[in-house]
Amino acid sequence: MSFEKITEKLLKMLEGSEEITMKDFELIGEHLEFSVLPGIGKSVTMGTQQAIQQIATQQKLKPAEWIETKFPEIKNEYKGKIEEVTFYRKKNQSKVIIGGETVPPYLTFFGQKNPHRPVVSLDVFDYGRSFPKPIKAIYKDVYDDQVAWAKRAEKFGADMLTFHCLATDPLLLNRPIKEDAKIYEKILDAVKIPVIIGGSGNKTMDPQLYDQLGAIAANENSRTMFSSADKETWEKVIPLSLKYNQNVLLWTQLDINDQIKLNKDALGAGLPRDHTVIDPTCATLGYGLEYSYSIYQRYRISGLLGDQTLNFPTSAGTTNAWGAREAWMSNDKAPQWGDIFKRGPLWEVTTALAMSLCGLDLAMMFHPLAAQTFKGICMDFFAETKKIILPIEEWVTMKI
Amino acid sequence: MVKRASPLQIYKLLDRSNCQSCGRKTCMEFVTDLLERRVKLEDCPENHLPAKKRQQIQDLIAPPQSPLEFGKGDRMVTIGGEEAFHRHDLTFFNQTAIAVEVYDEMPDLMDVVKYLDGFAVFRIGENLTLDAIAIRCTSNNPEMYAKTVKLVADAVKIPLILCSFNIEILSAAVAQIKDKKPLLYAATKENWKEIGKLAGENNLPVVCFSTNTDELVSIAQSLETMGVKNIALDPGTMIGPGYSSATLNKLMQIRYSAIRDGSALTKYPTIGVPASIWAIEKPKSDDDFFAVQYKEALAAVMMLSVDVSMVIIHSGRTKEDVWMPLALMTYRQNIFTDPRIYPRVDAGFFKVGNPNRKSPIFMTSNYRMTKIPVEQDIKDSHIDAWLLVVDTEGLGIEAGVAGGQLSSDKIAEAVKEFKVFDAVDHRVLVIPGMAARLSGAIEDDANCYVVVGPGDSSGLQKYMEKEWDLDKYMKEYNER
Ligand code: SF4
Repeated sequence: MSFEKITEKLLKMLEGSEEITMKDFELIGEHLEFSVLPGIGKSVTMGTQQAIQQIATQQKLKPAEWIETKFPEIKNEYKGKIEEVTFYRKKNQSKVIIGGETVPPYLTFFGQKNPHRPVVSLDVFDYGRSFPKPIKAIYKDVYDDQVAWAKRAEKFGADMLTFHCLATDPLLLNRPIKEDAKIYEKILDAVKIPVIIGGSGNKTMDPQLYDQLGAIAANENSRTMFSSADKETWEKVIPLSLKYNQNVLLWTQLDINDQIKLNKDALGAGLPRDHTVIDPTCATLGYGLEYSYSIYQRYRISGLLGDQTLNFPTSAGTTNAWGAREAWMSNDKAPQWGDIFKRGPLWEVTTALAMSLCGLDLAMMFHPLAAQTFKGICMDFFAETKKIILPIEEWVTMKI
Repeated sequence: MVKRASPLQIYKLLDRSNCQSCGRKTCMEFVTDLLERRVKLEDCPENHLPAKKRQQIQDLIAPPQSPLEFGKGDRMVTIGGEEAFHRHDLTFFNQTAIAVEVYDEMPDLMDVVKYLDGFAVFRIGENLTLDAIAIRCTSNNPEMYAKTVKLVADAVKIPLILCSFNIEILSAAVAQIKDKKPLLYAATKENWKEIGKLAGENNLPVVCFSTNTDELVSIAQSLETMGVKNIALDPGTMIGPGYSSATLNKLMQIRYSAIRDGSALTKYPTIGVPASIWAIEKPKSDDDFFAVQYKEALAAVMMLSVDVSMVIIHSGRTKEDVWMPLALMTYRQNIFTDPRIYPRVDAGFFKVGNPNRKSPIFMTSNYRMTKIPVEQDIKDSHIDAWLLVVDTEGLGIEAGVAGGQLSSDKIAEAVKEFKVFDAVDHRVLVIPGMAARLSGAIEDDANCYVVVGPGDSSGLQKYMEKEWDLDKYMKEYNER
């Protein structure tokens, strides 16, 4: 039967009727053309699927009846545990513990709660450089006074600090390590919180740096961390960490096999499990964050499922976020992105929060507003659940 | 995770005629594309796929979380429909929709909705846009609301969400714009019968709202039993100490239950409303205001992180607030990139614009997120140039220099392999500022003159105008 014929037949059937019900009805064909209101002469064209849907919904609804339902039970499949790693100053003057998770970030409905919130370590660089405006606004006057810089960062509420000894890189300032060691000692005198020792990335200088600064930390009975050892330096760094009883950050670049190998090598060389932190590299929002997102999440989930090569606390350098042009580009150059004092810190805290929802224990951060915001969110998540229900439904009628 | 259908299971149900009506060369190709959602089941016609088998395939490929569509035309949006519990298990298919809310009594309503309708940010080869506008009723006047909604619907293409708990208000608006297929917000324990009827009779999708998860699934089941087809769940967004975790936990409970465990009771897309923070916190100063904006933004980031199907936000209605949707859309662009596609692009030697024998040669890495923006920046600056893309194993410049994947040997190798200097009458290579420390070694290894360019390719235009001086560089090169 041709379409014209069908239409004609349908129209005949429809004459004088206002409603049609079709039973055991099958529609074949890609398009149907209905001219349902010949008087108005309007035709409606629709795809088969749509036509079927339309007809289906014209069927009467069933009578309304309340179906009392219980939310389905959710089984806990996580049997593993992330290692706990401790940082402290002068035995117990101040102490920070990370790790120890048994369930994914912030979840409580399995009846277990992770023991420690993610902590924040703020950056102190050993020399001032051209940093983005929002950073400059906060630290410019202390670019050359690392002790004052460290004190200020501590005041901002950092749990720890990271002293980045970039100047020791022969390709940058080639400053003698001795000088950074002196500054490190002064910083330790000035602040109460643990101060992580950050290398420059130079493979020859970094082990020497950890040797000299590690000795200072050990001398005052503190345990901090060498940040970091990688596939080229671990053989030198691990023995030093044992000598001074320091934690080590094992750093790889978004490569699971590299991380597994490095972890095994370091443990094989005697690094205690509770001195091991891993950093698979934190890319920034907008420029590869998704790779970090998936890698941090894979590590955490594997660890929670019982994989003993990946169940270590993680660290992320969210300072990288300032490498994104949306974070550093000034208002004159990028007016289309809004105020840099808002977008800059938001770029960093978004990066940190993203990582923390995948599985992050230590955020190495730069901007204090980002750091405070992130720490605040983590504390919100860790607070005892409140029973009172807020009248959130009022958003529908608020006049703003 | 719920098990995926195997390609063979589906292939067996097709007629295997390879008739190509679906635009694919073979039935097997159709199956592959079907699983990747690049083709619709309807594209295989009735005469090749009878209704019964079609239904069998439909059941096989149905994701554990059902999809929900609203809006009409080009900008129709699909939310939910996910099958991967973690992003790395497969990929997330339908990106979290971002909706901005407005209200019927808003003084500059029409300007705002037009702005939101046209809002777009171009990033790494993609135009990022908003997905919906939620119109709330504050006038409490069905007539006024319906009239306003109609005005908006006629002025914009972006899909709409109608927000009210009052059935009269929603009915009035639905009567005006039901052909635009708006999403209804929301059915509650109190109004579900009426809202369900309205949604069902007009074939419109509807959101269920309850802060109690038992009650939430009860509303959904009641609607479903009644015959309402398209349902989403909003377990309530509460932010703050002791509240944020409750919000995340409810969203995650739904996620575990639906996608990991495959429960039919929770199979619906989820809705988060960071905007609701503005009903609770009433900022008094500019600083307060800014703090609440941050909390709102980060509630949305939390939801994007766990693949919530749609978020409704408050900030972002004005140009001044652009930083917030910018961050959210950028994050979304990241998360919804297919993790099975490696970030590497091909190394090689490329033309950008119409370079000649005196044009500059810029160097970059083969990390996708580096190469594409650099190329775009060169184009945007109207520079005709050569672009040398070095194989850094898919790492960016800074990371590559730190890890040794970008070294002077590698660059020298690439220069040789792609016969870079054969294309020009000079031996000058412009390297990114972040690779500055390699410059001496590159000059030795690749026998060329190295110029350290700007730290970011956005500075290339200025660099070319102010500094680029080929004759000077070549003179210095020849004097060595
Ligand atoms: S239209 Fe159907 S039968 Fe024809 S090639 Fe495609 S899948 Fe096979």
